[in-house]
Amino acid sequence: MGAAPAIDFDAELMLRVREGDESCFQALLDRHRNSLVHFLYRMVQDSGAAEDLAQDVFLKIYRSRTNYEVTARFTTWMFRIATHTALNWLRDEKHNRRQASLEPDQQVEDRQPSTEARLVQNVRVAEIRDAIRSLPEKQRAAVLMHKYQGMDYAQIAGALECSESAVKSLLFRAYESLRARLAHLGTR
Amino acid sequence: MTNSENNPLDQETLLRLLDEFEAPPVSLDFNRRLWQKLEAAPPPSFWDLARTWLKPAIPLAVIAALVIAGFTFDHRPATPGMTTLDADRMERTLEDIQLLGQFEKTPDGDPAV
Repeated sequence: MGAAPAIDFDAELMLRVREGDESCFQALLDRHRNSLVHFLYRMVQDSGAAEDLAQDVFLKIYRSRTNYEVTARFTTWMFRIATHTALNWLRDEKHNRRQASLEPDQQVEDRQPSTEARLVQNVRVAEIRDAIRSLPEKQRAAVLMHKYQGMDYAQIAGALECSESAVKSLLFRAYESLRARLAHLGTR
Repeated sequence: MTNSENNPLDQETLLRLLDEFEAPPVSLDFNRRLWQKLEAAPPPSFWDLARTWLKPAIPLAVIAALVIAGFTFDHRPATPGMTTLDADRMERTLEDIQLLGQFEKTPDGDPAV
């Protein structure tokens, strides 16, 4: 990932949305829908909730179009909103959410015969999901942005509203926890 | 000590493992549902728009207000609350008091000089 230009293409699109060009909002939606939903899915680990939260994020972006100013990369701003939205959801859901097993769609797959390899794979993925879910929320957000979104330290710091050194510390601790927790999977 | 504690993962292996955690595809009607919500949302209020338009003028307005306040402060009356008319009346009253005082000093029956 190179250095951030003075104004990125997404920010230009957003400025046009501010001027009333809705086709540019559609372009932003097409460019970032998947990465945003996937980030939120890995954050909250619930596919339905992830799509609802992604819609909330796009609604917030659209509603704040009149006040939009280019202060950072568009994606940094978008992931800041997404992280806030996900953390609020996780806090609201903390009491009634205790996922001890796989999601229903994966459980259905498990029942299929002659799919031992798939079963083993599902167990592996479940362990990885659990390991990520066990991370403190900020560490989880930092790892997801770093690993799956390919964001650099500065962008993650902008999204999490903390310093770059704090991001490095979050990532160090998160990867260390994951390495310890998933060590047995690496030996297979 | 377990085997995993003896052989911690290296970063490269960990990142490969994390690749296995894939996200499901996004629903095909995601955009349609979003646009429905956007159309149902109320348009920006007058104050939102006004704030946007006026935002660049706010620093100028603050500077102008400070200049006017400074000018007004510098050119306020020397004795606030007293007009020129009041000062004239007060001067005449003092003169009257002085005159009456001269009357009181003269003996009874003798008109003052």
